[in-house]
Amino acid sequence: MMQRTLAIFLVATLGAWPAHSLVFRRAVTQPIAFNHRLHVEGNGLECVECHVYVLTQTFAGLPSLERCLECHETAVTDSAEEEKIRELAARGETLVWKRLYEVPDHVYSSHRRHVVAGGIDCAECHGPVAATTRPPARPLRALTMDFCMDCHRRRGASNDCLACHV
Amino acid sequence: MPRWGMVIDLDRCTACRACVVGCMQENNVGFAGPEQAAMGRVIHWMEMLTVGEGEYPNLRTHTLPRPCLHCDHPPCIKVCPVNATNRNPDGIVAQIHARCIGCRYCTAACPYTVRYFNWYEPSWPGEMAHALNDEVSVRPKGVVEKCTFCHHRLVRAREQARMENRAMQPEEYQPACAEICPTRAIFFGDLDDPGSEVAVLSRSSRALKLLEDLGTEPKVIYLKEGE
Ligand code: SF4
Ligand code: SF4
Repeated sequence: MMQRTLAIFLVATLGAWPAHSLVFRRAVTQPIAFNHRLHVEGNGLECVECHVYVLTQTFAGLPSLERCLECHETAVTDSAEEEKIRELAARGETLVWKRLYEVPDHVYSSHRRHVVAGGIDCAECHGPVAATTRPPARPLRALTMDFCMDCHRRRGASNDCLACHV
Repeated sequence: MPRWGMVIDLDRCTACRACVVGCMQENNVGFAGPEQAAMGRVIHWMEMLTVGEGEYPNLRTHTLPRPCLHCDHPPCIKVCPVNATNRNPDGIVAQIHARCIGCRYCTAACPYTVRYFNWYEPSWPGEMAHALNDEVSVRPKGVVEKCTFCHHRLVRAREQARMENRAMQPEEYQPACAEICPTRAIFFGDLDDPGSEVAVLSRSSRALKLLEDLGTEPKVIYLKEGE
């Protein structure tokens, strides 16, 4: 009896855990051990220079191999990770980054609207990604509905269901 | 705040069903297939109703394109136990699929039979499965869905206006059915602006509200066929 109650309790609590919280997320491994800090602080790049669709589309975009090659056509450092870019290019392959931040299909969230219209800094939703030296295995911020609604409340943005759920 | 509404002129409508198809395409409505169709489980947010009149050989068929009427006093929202359907600040009767528990109370409460239960996982033949509208979510099995007046188009129009730092004009927001209708039988706009096309038409002597005596105050108004 005791065990059954415990099992029901566990299923009820864990089941209610937002699927997009950070717990139980599978670790993401990227094809290249990208160093955000080196690019942003070290070389003064803006996020939108690699995530090129942030200002114009709903999605942000992950940099293509061609985008990387614009700077890395020839070696800039002696990093083996950097070499991988040119190796991929030599083999005629593409660079497939894995998505780290994702919202469910029934949520509509536009980068353009948040960044251009809302004037919101990338780190507000993505956390201090720009300061990382290795690719994060899990999102630095949990994009839960509470998280979104709190911010909407604070900024006076709409919390009407239809504003995000279509 | 505009009161978004629709006027459907039955004299102009040729029952070509372009609105029905356009709506399915716009809103990712799946194909039922023959088995589900035989059980009456086809989903059409915009449906062409047919009404027969007279006796053989003097028969006449009336047709009526019917979306959700976005009632100002919608009976459907009162019965929802989880507030998955509500009248939003734009006056649009919203359906929040992720919240719906599929009890179908609303389906029973709607006097216009515009609500559909998802009895099966949605599917599309061949290439169509890759041509979905990414502004509209695909509904899972087990929830109720219905016309949203293409609310995502309102969101898009508002966003565009905001980017250009100007006020949104009512003409910028048109649902897919109104846009696709080849005879322009479907008008859409602000019912509260007395000069708007929909407001003028809604005051015409041909104007008709379906089941008006129920007091649902639908925001889809029909113009009767001339005799
Ligand atoms: S037509 Fe039916 S579903 Fe639409 S608002 Fe009216 S009662 Fe609700
Ligand atoms: S079927 Fe869904 S929307 Fe309709 S009353 Fe039940 S929970 Fe609410």
